[in-house]
Amino acid sequence: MIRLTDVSRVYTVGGQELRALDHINLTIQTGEYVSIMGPSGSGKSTLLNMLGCLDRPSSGTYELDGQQVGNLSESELAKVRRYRIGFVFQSFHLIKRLPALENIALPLILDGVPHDQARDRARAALDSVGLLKREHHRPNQMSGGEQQRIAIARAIIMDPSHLLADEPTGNLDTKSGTGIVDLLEDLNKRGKTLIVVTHDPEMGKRAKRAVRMVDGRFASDSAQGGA
Amino acid sequence: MRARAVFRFSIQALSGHGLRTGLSLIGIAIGVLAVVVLTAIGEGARRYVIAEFATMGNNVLIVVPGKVETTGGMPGMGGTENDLTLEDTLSIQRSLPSIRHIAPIATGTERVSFGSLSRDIAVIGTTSEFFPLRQLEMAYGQFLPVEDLDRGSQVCVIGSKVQAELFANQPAVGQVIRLGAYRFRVIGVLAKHGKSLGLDIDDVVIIPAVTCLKMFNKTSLFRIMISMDQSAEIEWLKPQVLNLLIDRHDGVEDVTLITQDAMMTTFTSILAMLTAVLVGIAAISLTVAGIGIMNVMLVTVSERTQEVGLLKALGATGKQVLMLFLSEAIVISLAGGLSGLMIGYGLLALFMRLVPGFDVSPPTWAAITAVLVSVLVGGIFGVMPARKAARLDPIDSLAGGQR
Repeated sequence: MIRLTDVSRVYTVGGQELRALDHINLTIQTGEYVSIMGPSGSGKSTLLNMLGCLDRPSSGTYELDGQQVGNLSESELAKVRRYRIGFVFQSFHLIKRLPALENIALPLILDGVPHDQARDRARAALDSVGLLKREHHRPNQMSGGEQQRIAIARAIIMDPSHLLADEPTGNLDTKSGTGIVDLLEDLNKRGKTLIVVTHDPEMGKRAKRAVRMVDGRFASDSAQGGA
Repeated sequence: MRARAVFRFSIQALSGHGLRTGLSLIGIAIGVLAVVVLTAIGEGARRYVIAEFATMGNNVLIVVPGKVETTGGMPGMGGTENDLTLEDTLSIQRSLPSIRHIAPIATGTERVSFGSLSRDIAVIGTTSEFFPLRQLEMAYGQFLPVEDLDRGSQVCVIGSKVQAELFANQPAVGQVIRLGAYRFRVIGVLAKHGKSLGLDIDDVVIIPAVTCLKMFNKTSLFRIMISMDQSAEIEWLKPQVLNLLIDRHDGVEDVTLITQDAMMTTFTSILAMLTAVLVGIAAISLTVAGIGIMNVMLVTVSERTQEVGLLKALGATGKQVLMLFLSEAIVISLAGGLSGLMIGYGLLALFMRLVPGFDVSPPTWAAITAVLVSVLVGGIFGVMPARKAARLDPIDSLAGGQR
């Protein structure tokens, strides 16, 4: 479960205070499917980084699965990301020199899982996104949709409870984009909290809950039918 | 994260930049190569010289004509240089009865011939004392007879190689060979001895000293060798001999006395200085190489900013990022060190093949130190770039490192 209480994030740019998040209150239950929409600069990426423990609140508290994460040390925060958060990025962020399997195994390797074991688990994750045949392919030998599937396999390899996706279909054509959304929603159905930042109204509509941000605040937060 | 995984990750990262990695490890390789080759040659020289002087024995004093050491005076000042003569030898022998053996040595090169065979050969003129002094052994016959110093008979003793070349399997003792215009009767053949003090005893003809001087029309001896019963007596003997010779040479100190100890001391101090210079050169070259590695690693870190952001998002701690990049620097320098070591060993093996008999196998400590130091260089110069990577902000670096 995610609970933000009165969270603000303030940047100082050239002596000017920039309030990217302005006294936000947000509770997301485990297993929810939430889309975050809004114009550029509305603070939705800052919110996602905050939720993903890549950033800390300037003020207010962030409670993740019952743990206050605002005042954890850097390395404790890294561990929280490792075990509880799976990131999916717009530009995939795969390491180009590594084949698919090793990209997926990376979080396991960072966690000290022995090589063979990590490979076996990565292979299972690869299978679950339907790309077992791409095991030895490098990112540049795959299509965008395939690369994003690899990235999703990497995001779920540690079995985190939360999936955070930042414009996951932004670099994809409609067809592969739909496939990615289906895959993410499938993971949500199996119990993972899914939070998607998107510009795409179609995708925003599919979430069961839609949050609209403007100027670092919530303009609306509404339950909707979903797909 | 496991050490093997870190290593693997480094290798994968480096192999993508073969040329860059190769160039930056060359510096380390050259530094290590220089250290290995030079220490090996230095060590080889040391072993060679020690072996040479060990055969001399520490109870031996050698008198050489001429002043070798520089004393600060103008050359040629203080009188003319006198010959080292047979009379000097005789005088030392008479005034210092505690001397065990004393042998004058004169040398020259002459054509030796027997029947139709002939070749140039080193000729040594000495006395019967030379035999026990150099701890020689006879294969056949006997050594030079005991006789007065000024009486030179026309007899000779030949080395084993000379016997083999001139007489093949025939007995040599009793035969007459020619040395230049003179005829000598062979009275003995030396047992195989090998080289010592720069002289191949197997490949010489030994004749009485006075005969030798006459034959080559010389007045000065090449050396006088003196031995004592105890090595401790050498220090006592030295000033005695020196004063005697100064007296005989009109008060001029125109001889040099060599002992094993003195030679060893001089040689050891020269070698120590060379080693110090070598360490200095190695330190400079490895520092330069280390800066090269640091530079390459800084480039690598800025190129892979997004990767660092990703690793952090995936749950890598700053320490892990630091380790990954530090390990890359160490892999570069270790690879450099090992290739330098291998090339060094290769060159030395080649050298030993070309110059047989001169053992230049590098000392183990040098090889181990070289590798350890190269790892250390990578570690030291890799820290700064690796820390830079570890401190990157994950959000900024994921976005492409604009800051």
